[in-house]
Order: sequence, then C-alpha cells, then structure tokens
Amino acid sequence: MAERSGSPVVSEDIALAPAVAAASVRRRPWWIGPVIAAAIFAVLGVLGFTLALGSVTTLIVVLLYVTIAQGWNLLGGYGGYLNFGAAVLFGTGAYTAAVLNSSLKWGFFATLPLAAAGAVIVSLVIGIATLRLRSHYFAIFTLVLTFLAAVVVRNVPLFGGANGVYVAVPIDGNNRAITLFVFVTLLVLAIIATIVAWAVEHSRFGNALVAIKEDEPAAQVLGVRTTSVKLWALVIGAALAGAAGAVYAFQTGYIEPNGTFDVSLSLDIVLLCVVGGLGSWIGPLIGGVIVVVLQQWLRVAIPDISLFGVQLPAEASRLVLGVLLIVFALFARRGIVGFVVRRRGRSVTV
Amino acid sequence: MLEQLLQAGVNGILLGGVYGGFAVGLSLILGVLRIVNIAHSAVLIIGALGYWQLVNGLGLDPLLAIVPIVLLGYLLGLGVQRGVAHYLRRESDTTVLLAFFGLMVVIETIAIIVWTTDTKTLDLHYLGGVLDLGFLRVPVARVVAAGLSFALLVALHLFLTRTLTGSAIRGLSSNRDVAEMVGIDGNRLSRHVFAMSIAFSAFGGTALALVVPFTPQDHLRWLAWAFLVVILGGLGSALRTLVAGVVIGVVESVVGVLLPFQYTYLVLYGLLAVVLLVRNQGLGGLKARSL
Repeated sequence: MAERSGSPVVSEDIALAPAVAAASVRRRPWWIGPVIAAAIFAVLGVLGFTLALGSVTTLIVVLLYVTIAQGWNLLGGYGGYLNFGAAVLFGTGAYTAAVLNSSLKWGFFATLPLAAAGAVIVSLVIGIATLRLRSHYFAIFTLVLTFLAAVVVRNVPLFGGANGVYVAVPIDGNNRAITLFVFVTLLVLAIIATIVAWAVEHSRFGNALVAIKEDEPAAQVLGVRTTSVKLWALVIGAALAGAAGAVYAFQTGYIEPNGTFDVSLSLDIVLLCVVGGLGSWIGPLIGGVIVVVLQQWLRVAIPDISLFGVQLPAEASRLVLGVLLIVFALFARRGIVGFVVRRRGRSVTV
Repeated sequence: MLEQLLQAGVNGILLGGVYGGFAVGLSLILGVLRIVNIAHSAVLIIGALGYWQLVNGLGLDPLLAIVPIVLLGYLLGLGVQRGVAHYLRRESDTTVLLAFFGLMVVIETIAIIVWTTDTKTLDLHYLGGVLDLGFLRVPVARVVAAGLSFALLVALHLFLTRTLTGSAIRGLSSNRDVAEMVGIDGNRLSRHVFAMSIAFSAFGGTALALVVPFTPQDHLRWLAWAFLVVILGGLGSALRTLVAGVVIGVVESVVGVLLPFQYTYLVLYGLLAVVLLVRNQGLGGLKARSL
C-alpha cells in the first residue's frame, strides 16, 4: 500500500486496506523513532557548539520552526484542522515579549511564559469563534487573521506602530554567547515540543484528535468531546508558538509588523509538517531540517540563476516552496515519514 | 453628518456591488464543486494586475480591457483544473486546502515577481470623472464597476435558474451522483464551472482595480472580504451574494465615517466571527451543505 499516486479511484483501495495492512505490517520496535529524534537533536546540539556563527543562525531557524511546527501538527496534522495563521500566534508571542521588555524592562525568562500566555489567549478567541465549525472555517479564519493582526499592531501606539519595537539582548556577553544562549533555549524548547508531540500521539487525547480527522460526527457519537479536544490542541500549539516568538524577538532585537505577521512563516510551518509527515511526531523534526536547509540553499542559489537574461528575485524561493506544497499535498500527503513508515491498519483516508 | 452618512451609504452600496462581483466566483466554486478556494484572492489580484498592465501599460480602453482578462481567467481556470483540481475530486478537505494554499502562494509569488510590491493605481482614462448630484459626489469608475457587477450577477442568476445548463449545474451542486445518473457529464461540467468561477474572480479583480489602489501582498484582506460576503450570503444564489456584498459595503463605509479607518477592519472581522458563530451550520437554508 504505497501512496496512491494521483489516481482518483480509491474504492478497491478502501476495501483492501485492513486486510493488506494486517498482512504486511511488520511492527518496528517502538524505540526506533525516539532514537532517530535523539540523534537529530544530538547532531544539532553538537553542530551548534562547533560551527561558525553564521551557520548557527541557520540551526536556530531550524529549531524555531521545529518548535512551532510540533505545536501546529497537533491540531493540523492529527486533527486535520489546518491553521494557516501560525504567524499570528508566533507574532503575538514576539510582540508580548517585546513590549514587556521595552516598556517594563522585563528580562528574558520573565517574558517567556507571558508570551506563551498571550498566544494562548489569542488562540482561545480564535478557537471559540471557529472550532465548533467544520475545518474550512478554521483554515479561512486563521489565514485572513494574519492581515488583521498586522493592521492592529500597526495602529496601536503601544506596539510601536509601523516603526516596530526594539528589544534588549537577553543576556550580557559577546555576540557568540548571545547566539549560543538563544540556540540552547530553542534546543530545549524544541525537545520539549517534540516530547509533547510524542506524548500526545501515544495518548487517548491523540487518538481523539485522529478520530476527529477521520470522521468528526462519528467521533462525537462515540463520546469524544470534539470541541474541547480541538481547543486543547490549539492551545498547546499556541503556547509553543508564543514561546518561540518570544525567543525570536530577543534574538533579532527588533520586530516590526510586516516581518512578524508574515504569511511566509505560516507557509513554512505548514510546509514543514507536510514534507515531514502530517500527524507524526517525528515528521516536523525531519521536515524542519529539510525545509530550512532547502530554503537557505535556495536563498543563496536563486540570485545566481538568470532566466531569459533576467535575474530572478529572492521571492522566487517562495515559488519553489509553494510548488513543493502542492506536489506533496497531491502525491505524498503523508510526507517523508510516509515513505518509511507503514501506517498501521487503523486509518483509511478517503 | 447626515449628508456624510448618506454619501457613505451610496458609496457603500456601490462598493458592495463590487464586493458581490468579486465574491461570486468563490461562492460558485464552493457551492457547486465544494472546493474551498483559498487561492481566490490571489486570482483576484492577478486579474487586477493583468488589467492594470493592459490599461496602464498598453493604454487600452478600460472597459474593453475587461474582456481579455475574463477570457484569460477562463483559460487559467481550465489549466488549474487540469493541473491541480482534477486530482482533488475525491480527496479530503485537508488535502484540498493544502493544495490550494500552495496554489495561493505560487500565484501571489508570481504576481510579486512580475509586478513587484508597489501599490498600483489604475489609469482611469475617461472613467476618471466624478458625478455631481447636488450633495452627493460619486466617482464614475465606482458606478461603472458596481453596474458591471450588478449586471453580471443578475445574468448569472438568470443563467442558473432559467437555462438547461444552469439547471444541470444546480443539479451537480445538490447531488453529483444523481446528476450523473440522469445523463449530466459531471466531469466536463465541473471543468467549466471551475473555469467560470476563476473567470468571475478575474472579473472581480478588474472591478477591484477600478475602485481602489491595490498591491499584490495585501490580497488576504480581499480574501477576508470575499469569505465574509459568501458566509453572510450563503451558497447557491447569486442574488443573495449581491445583497450580502451590499450589506458589507454599507457597513464598511458607514463605520469608516463614524470611527477612525483602522476600526473598520476590526468591525468587519468581528462581524465575520459573529456570522461564523451564529450561522454555524446551515448557510442560507442550505443545511446539508458542506461549508
């Protein structure tokens, strides 16, 4: 049962799925996944302390994305409710931290939990308005919210308007010390996020989310409190995104509305999960490494390419990512993890 | 104040006509094909940019230039249907949303690469004047854009309710399997409905360009507006879409007079949230519908 390649005829697929799955499943030992994840984190950790400063920044992006994407994957991957506004939650965290730091002079560790709390509050508002409805509404609402968030921030004087907010450095020290501090913080956050995702996947809560994705009315009939399950998944994801936002604010030292509430970030997060594997706790980790490396490479490579004598602008890398998303959505919707791991015969997606 | 409000009301009605025009493509694709086309606003913007190119770049007549844009929209629709939507016919909502999100990014990025992120203002030629009706002053371009949208929506309504093809489309919308049983070629028809929706979206882009300056990257705003119109108006009726567009246009203009401009967005997003909460299932009486 490899990926169905674009063929719309699925009826015999469905009929055979349980039988085929039962016959062909060789259960992999449970520890393979955690070992791979630990290895990835170990390699990232070692690289962080050995590489040059410029490359560490790339690793920081990887960890930042992994943290947000693990949170996103709970509702988006397991639950099938796509949040196209990851940038809103991330930006809320970044702005909460930045404003607390610049107006009240709060330090890094004091603002971190409040940034997460800020994102949680925003996510509760979004969730209560849209999560009782079908998944389209949620996807649409979160997508268009990006625009509103940028408008609100630009027009509220507290948030510095279009000028943005300056943030103090998180710790005293030279450039390298600060970068390493950010790196280690994000490494810890990403590991926490991954453990949370692992725990969710192996819990009744995770099963409830998968049931919602498979067939929401049926899950409801079977006693899953769908709305509160979805809300919890969103809230956990929001807390992670908010915390990541706070770290980002301290890392860059300056944030402004357009760069913070950027659809590109939402795209990257979605793409990360789709490439790695939706609804798999290790997917965002693998996807994070691949997508960020690809992105950095494109950023360097694309200005060198000229098409019909015209230099391609840097935005062209987004084009590649968009096409990649379409291709994965159409032909490999369980991502890279899907190529490796056979789904146990428990789910048949139509 | 009263004069100001009256002026805002008239402006709102005209703006609302335009909103109806640019949301109808979304409503059609959603109602008939059950596709949540989140790439809608990207198509709007590329329609608007193409139109701007023809009018400002080539100096074409602003009314005539609408025709090639709509035709190109139709062809683009056929292409996208063949290339992407065709594969999504039996897929889950999640997959469709992901694919169209990718499509949105692709179209938006192409628009930014080709036309950059500068704000574009259409050169209105002879439509640039202002009608002076005593205490009311109405830009001609706005009247033209609203008039074309009104006409198009009424024409679509008549097409869907009075012609055989229209009946077939409505049949496809209410039950595809049964429609195919009675001899409707579902695949062929949905291809053309898809292309028609994209053509309507391209038209919506031209109407938008006639009314406001625009940039490629703020298209999400128009997506919010279009969904607001569709959710408020419900699916399956071009006339209700028009009414919903007018309601939103009037609310936007009147709020714009009473409060600073940024509150307009807050009010309309609040409206979107409230509408979502109130009409959670059953849109406009279409209770069994998927959105």
